[in-house]
Amino acid sequence: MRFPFFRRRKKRHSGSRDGGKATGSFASNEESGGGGDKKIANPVGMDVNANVRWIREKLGDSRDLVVRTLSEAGTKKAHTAFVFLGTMVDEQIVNQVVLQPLLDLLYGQHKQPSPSERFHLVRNHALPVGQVLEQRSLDEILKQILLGNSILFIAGHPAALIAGTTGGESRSVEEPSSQTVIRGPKESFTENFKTNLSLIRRRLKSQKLRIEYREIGTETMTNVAMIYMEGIAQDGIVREVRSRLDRIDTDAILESGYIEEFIQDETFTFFPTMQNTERPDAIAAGLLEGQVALVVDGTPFVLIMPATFTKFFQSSEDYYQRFDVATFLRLIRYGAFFVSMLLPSLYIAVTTFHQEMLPTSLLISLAAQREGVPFPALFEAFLMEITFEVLREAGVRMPRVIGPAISIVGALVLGQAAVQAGLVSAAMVIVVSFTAIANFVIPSLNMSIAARLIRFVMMLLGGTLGLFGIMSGLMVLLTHLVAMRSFGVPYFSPFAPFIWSNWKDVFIRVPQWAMNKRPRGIAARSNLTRQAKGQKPSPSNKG
Amino acid sequence: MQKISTFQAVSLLINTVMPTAILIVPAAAIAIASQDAWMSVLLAVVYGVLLVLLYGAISKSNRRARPFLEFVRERLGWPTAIAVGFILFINYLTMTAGVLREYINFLSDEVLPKTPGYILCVLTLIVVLYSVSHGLEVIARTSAVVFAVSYLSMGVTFGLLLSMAHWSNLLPPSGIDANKIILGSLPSSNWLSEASFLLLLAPYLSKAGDARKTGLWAILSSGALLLSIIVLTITVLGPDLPRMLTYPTFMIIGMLQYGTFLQRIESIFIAVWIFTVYVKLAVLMFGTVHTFVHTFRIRSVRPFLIVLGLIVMFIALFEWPDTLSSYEFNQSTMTTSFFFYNAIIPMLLWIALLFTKDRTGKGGEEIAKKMG
Repeated sequence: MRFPFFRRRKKRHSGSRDGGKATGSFASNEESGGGGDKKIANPVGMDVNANVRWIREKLGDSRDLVVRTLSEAGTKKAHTAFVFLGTMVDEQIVNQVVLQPLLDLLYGQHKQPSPSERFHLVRNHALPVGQVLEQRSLDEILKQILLGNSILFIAGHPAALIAGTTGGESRSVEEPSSQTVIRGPKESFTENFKTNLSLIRRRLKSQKLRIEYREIGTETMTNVAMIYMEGIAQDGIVREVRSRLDRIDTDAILESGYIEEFIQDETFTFFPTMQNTERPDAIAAGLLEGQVALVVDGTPFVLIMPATFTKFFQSSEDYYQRFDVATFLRLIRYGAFFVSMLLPSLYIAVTTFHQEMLPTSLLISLAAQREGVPFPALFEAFLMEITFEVLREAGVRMPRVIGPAISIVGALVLGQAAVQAGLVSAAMVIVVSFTAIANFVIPSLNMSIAARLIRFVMMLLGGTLGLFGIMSGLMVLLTHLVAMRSFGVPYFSPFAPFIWSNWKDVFIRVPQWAMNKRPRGIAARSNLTRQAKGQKPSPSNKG
Repeated sequence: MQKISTFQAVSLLINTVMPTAILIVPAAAIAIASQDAWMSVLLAVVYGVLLVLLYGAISKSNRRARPFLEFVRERLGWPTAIAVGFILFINYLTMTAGVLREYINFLSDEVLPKTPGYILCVLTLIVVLYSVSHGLEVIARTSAVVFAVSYLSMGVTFGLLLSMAHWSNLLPPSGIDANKIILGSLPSSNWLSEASFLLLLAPYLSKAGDARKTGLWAILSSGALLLSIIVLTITVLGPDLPRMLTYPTFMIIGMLQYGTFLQRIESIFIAVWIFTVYVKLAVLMFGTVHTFVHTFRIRSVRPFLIVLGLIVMFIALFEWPDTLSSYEFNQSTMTTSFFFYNAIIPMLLWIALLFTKDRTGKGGEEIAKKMG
């Protein structure tokens, strides 16, 4: 596999491996914050109050900043300060797991310890949370406060302790709302970063699983995890994803869609070059095929790349059902994609330019229906398609309680009444409805949107230049698909370039025992074998 | 440099030869050779094979897989390279314009009689230029997909047509007339000689040295397809009717009818055929741009792509005032020009290469390997 753009772009890898020098994640400080001889730009001072003052100043005296100072009996001078953002921490952990043991320890001592003794006592005995780290830079400490961790300053000691107390309300794991299946896991990702990672890790209990952290967005400091299987994913692809992530320089990442637009191969295309899913099983399967996943904090939609055209027609359920059913459904989906993209335009082209293609009886029936319609077929189709798009958008945005009203308006008023009033022909309503239903068959939402948009262009071509126009449009589409790449992988493979071994999972989903190889071109060449050959069941019928 | 697999290259050559051959060869060959037209095709295939062997021999000398005109420059000097480049450029330019015009004539006659020709011309050129702007690799990949779709449907159609064939139409009423067979082979020979694109294509092959194999596969497959079309045309329509028709191939497909559910499929056939013409036009336009760019050593290709597209459009629209004059032009000049560009020029080149020393030395193959 060649990656032409890998050579051209300057390598600017500033990222890290799991547990390595990650920039800004909690785990990162284990190495970078441990002190050492490095000169720190903004060090923690000996005076607790000065440190707290600095933080207050930086946060503009924000009202959710909580500072709890502890002083020795009879004096007002604080020896310890406990600082956190009340809106970002898990209060139960802060109160019961951090604050209570701390008070018990500090006030249960018979003699006052020295600052250094106090620091080590607290570090080793008072904080029974999983993650406790030492940090000497005030800038880094401020960042950790913003991430929801709690900080402990101890007077006379030039370092602070950071306790992992990130928390807050989050949605529990529920059924996926956009990619439902009849048979298969019902778990879906949530907005919680850690939950999402654990959902993946639980499915891949492999030592090859690699998770790298990034923090993207100067204001949102959004955690992004890049996940891949070492040895299965191609090094070139992993490097490319890493370098594209590192190039992002923006103030905010609020959803994985932001990342997608920054790192995708083609901007001016109808087709998606990476998949998104809220199904952990789909991510696990993708990782095992050599894809790279990006989990973004705050969204249940995980990105997975590289993605070829055929990937968007695969559903998780294909692998949980029998292969014959899965194959049949695949073929239906491809058919539905073409129907959704081309049916209205073909109808317009045939009724306007190529009436000779229709059997006479059908032609007469269609002509009779269109007799009273005052518009040309193209305009009629546009009218109905736009109406349907408005209805669909209304269906997504409106409050749920009004739902049935919209259905009645859509079906009765716009459908039946429009035909009775002679504004549109009944055949056109059938064409538009079937097109709309066919569009829902495509498992991936972003591919179905592509079909919807292309449909309008095709209608215009079919309405002005007939079949010739449609064929010209399809030729441009084919050239565009063939020219596209997703992270170096040809988008239209295994059709062009032709890769025969990958056809086992395109139109036909072969039985599991025959799927011995990972997809060529996506998975690393050295590790294509996923299972042993010759596992076709051949039970003995004797006895 | 972009790389193309052998299958893609074969499909590219077949798609260069076949789309217009389907349109023109049956009527022209049957008009001259009557029911013996199939023998003419066989003769043309022999000629095509000889040409491909010649192209293969020239490509074999290009050990470092340099672009064709760069290779000619290295071996035969810049004056020869410019002369050859310019001749090829003129050939591809006129071919592109000629094929575009024929295509528009066909569309105006059969598909969209009321749409003005220049609209069809502009839209076709936009599609073709878009394809060419992505380079030969993308054209080759598109070609492979188009090849699979179009020739699969063609195969099915031909299979269905077999039931309508009257094999007795092939029987000669009198003895075999060698003159007619040779004359009848000229249209097929002309189209098959378009495989000369192999010269430009060979350096892009992922397996250097597969040029001859690619060419042979392409010629033999195209020959087989042409043969089956001609045999079907004669057996379905008889030897006399096709000469009166402009597009007999579409006529026989239009006659295909199975009950009431499968009828009038020529529109679908034409729709699929349009794909193959696009590939052909993209190949010829690529040839035009490629020879122009390499002859004049131009670095920035894109502006010239649009300019050359405009020139092609103007030639196609205004060179021939009507359909008849473009038909006459083809009849009068085609054989001579095809023979000159696709046989004489390559032959002269090959002879010149025989008498010049390969200055790249024996290390050339290793360098080519490294480059690949």
